[in-house]
Amino acid sequence: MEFDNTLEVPLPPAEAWRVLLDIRRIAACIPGAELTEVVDERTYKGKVAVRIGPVALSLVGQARLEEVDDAGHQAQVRAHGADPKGRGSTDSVIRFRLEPAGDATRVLIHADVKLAGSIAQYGRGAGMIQSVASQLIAQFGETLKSRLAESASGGEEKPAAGAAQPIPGLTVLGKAAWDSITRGAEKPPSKP
Amino acid sequence: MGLDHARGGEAALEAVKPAPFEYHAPRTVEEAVTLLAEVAPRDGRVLAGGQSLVPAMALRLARPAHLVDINAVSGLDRLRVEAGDLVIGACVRHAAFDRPAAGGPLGTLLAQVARHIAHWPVRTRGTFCGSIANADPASEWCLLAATLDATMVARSVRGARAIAAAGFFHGAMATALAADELLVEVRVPLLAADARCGFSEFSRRAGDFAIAMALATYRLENGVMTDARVGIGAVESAPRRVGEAEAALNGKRPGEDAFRDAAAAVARAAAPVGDIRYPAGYRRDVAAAMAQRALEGTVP
Repeated sequence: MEFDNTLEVPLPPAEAWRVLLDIRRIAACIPGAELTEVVDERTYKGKVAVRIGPVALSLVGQARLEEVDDAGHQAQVRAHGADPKGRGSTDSVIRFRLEPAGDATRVLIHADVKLAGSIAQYGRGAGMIQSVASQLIAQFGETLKSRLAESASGGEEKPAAGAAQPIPGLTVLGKAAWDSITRGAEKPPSKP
Repeated sequence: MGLDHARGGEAALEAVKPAPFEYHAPRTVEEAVTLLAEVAPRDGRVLAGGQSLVPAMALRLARPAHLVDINAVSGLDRLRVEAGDLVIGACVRHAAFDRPAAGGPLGTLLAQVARHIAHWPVRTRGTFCGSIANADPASEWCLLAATLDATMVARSVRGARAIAAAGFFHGAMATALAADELLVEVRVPLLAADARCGFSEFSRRAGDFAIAMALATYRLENGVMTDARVGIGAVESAPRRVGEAEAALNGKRPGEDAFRDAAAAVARAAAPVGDIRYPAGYRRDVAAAMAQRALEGTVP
């Protein structure tokens, strides 16, 4: 299924672009996401916990940044995830494009999500997946916005990548993700 | 099936469908919320009627590690009128609304809506509050709660809080409830004695999830409609009131013209989700037709 979404980032496009490509920072803002391994500067392993009503899924897999166009501020992420309990898997291609919106940036997101296995039959199809996706994106946008605000009020010049302490007000999942990133900090830092 | 039963005995007992879970049966709301605070972070779920949760568990789609069964909690099965609201406890079954549960138009409306929920055996187990907490986009009770501005009362170890319907439904199967909160009751405001209401739902077979549904109420003042409410369900990811359709009714005489305008407003305002069976455009058409039929049903 294909669907579109938008997101506002309170930064000019050039800065927003840098923040959005800082995958370790971004992963910590995705609700339920946990980055487990940085394979190389474009490939990341992790898991995402998604809850659709009574069904709590954990999708484990890999995401790869592709077709990064620094000048045009667009990129795509190809992701594969599978449920360790065998309830299904997903293959997704998500395209991002940034465009200026006043002083801020609008992120245009186009997702092509393929689901397989019994999760594909659950929830009567595409509508529910789209709803979950737009909630995830909205929550991600809120978290990112409050992180950026905190970085700004913290007197740092620009949003610092990987500030090594959890920020108050995170959800349990967000905190877990953040912890996993700070724990993973022994790995060679990889900034795109 | 037949052969399995014939073999019977131990083999049948071993054929357990759900993944292993720990079962808790609290007796009071305090016990229930204390348990929930403990097990919710480890995917502990509330079990009320079980008509959505248990089938998902049988398919092993849902694999909760803990179930907090609230059926034995005293006081949750109460259905009462209090301060202008019909107060529906967490364990009140759909079947309780089969006959008018409250005086006036609300009781009649609830009985009319309840008949569309699945089938009789499901209605004898499934609960009103369970439907609200599950927040299926096609839930009749969620549409009713959104249209009539019901109030959801949630309890947790942190205390009780009341959540207005306008801020409760976040999306498909997503609500304002935290994982450790128990929806103890829903308060539905009673309708005025002279309120008119109508409900219409379309599905291919009786008892199926709706493709679209609509609920409408208004009062008459000097022959024109006032306090109009039009809600749509199963159309978008969550049920909601359609202000544009309500505006098309207020101040007008009830009748074909106003109803057609309101239905057209629903068609314009709705942002339906499409799926493999029902494209968004089709759902939009059905939503408008349901709004019109719900309104036609208001005329005695």
